[in-house]
Amino acid sequence: MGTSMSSSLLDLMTLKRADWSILKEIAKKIGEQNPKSCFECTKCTSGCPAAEFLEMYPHNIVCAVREGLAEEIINSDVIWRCALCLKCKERCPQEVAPSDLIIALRNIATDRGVGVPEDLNSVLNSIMEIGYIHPPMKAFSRRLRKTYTREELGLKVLKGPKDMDAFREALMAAFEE
Amino acid sequence: MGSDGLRYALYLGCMIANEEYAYEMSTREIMRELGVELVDLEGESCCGSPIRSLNTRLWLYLAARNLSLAERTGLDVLCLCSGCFESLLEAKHFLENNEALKKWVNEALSLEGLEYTGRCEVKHLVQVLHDDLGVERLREHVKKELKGLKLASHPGCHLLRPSKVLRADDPEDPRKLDELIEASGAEAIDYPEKLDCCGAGLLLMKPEGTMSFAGTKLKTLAAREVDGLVTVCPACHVVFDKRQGAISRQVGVDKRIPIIYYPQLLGLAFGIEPERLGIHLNSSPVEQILSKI
Repeated sequence: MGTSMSSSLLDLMTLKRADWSILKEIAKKIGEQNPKSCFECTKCTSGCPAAEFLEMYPHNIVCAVREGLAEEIINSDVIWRCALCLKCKERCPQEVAPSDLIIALRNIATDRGVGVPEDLNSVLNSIMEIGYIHPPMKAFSRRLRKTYTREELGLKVLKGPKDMDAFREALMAAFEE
Repeated sequence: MGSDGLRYALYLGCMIANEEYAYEMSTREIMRELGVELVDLEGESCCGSPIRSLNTRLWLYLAARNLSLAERTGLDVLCLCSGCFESLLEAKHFLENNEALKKWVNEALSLEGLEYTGRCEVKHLVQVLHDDLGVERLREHVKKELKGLKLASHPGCHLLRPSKVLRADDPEDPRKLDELIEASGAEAIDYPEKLDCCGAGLLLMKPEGTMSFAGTKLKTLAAREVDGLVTVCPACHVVFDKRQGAISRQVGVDKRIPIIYYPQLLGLAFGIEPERLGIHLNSSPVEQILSKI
């Protein structure tokens, strides 16, 4: 933890050889940011509020991917511990955006069906079903010991997408490449 | 005191549409008072932010879909949720720089007869109140100055970053929400933990992370003896308000801090009935604020 991986071309834990082909896949997911421009100033790590939960600091993740060792990270749950506060993206002097790299690695993990948190899958299912992350909930007043629907609070009832079939078809198309 | 005919397309997003009703109620109340017209986005859906981690194209499609609904109104979009605000603007920026994905998005949208061009502007509530209306205009409507209230602002991550794309406020020293708080007559304190994240982004993946982020912030706020924390995002608000009891117990804080949405605060200064602002729906002890004004 916390040591630089920039000089290693072989993952010493698994003796796996470096593989840079994944960089292309990453670029397709997040666009122009390039982990190769990282010079390890560690500005991302010094401002990271999730650093205490991470087995690898943000700059280590960038370095490992740059050195062709993305596979282990995709399979590890370190990528699912970022809150996406975007401080690292804001502060990176090289516009590498570790948070975008983490999103790309999560996308790749999802494509492969590894390690996706169950609650995120439920959210996706709900969007497919009704267009929102969850159905309308009743608001609870702790003080008045009463619950309220949108309507009871004078708010309009929302209907979501008009043509759910077309909406779902478009969502499904996102998964076909 | 007219509003020069200001009109916006109101985008709610999942949390406001389906659980955080007080934020919408209080926003509608203050906008009515200010003479700002809000046009509903019929058929809106999730902005895509929560599932961006699963699939970039899914996120882009959902964001562009809502923007294309807004384009039909010819109005700027008003976002109340900072998560949606960041998601819609980043998607817009992404699609500006990626013709192939923009083409794909439009093929997917054509199934619903929609088209995305990228021509509409997206603004957060803080920008509309601070930049479009202005603090002076708000002050003209204040009937009851909230003097003596000492409040901390929580601008939240996705109102500020990435600043190159969002351009909402200074990302390292945001002042707009504080100036808005001061328009109500209350005092906005400066505090070093202002930029600290609520941790809502970890709720679906590692909730103990959320507890730790929010717990640390609640602890420092308790020590600073503020009368409340002012929020402008339903995700931040749910963490600090609805989950405060559990989080505070976990980190050993006895004091409970009132959490209030900015439009609820401004509505009180406008003299609007608390119930119309959904104050009774806040879980934190907001009656402490009511008793001080």
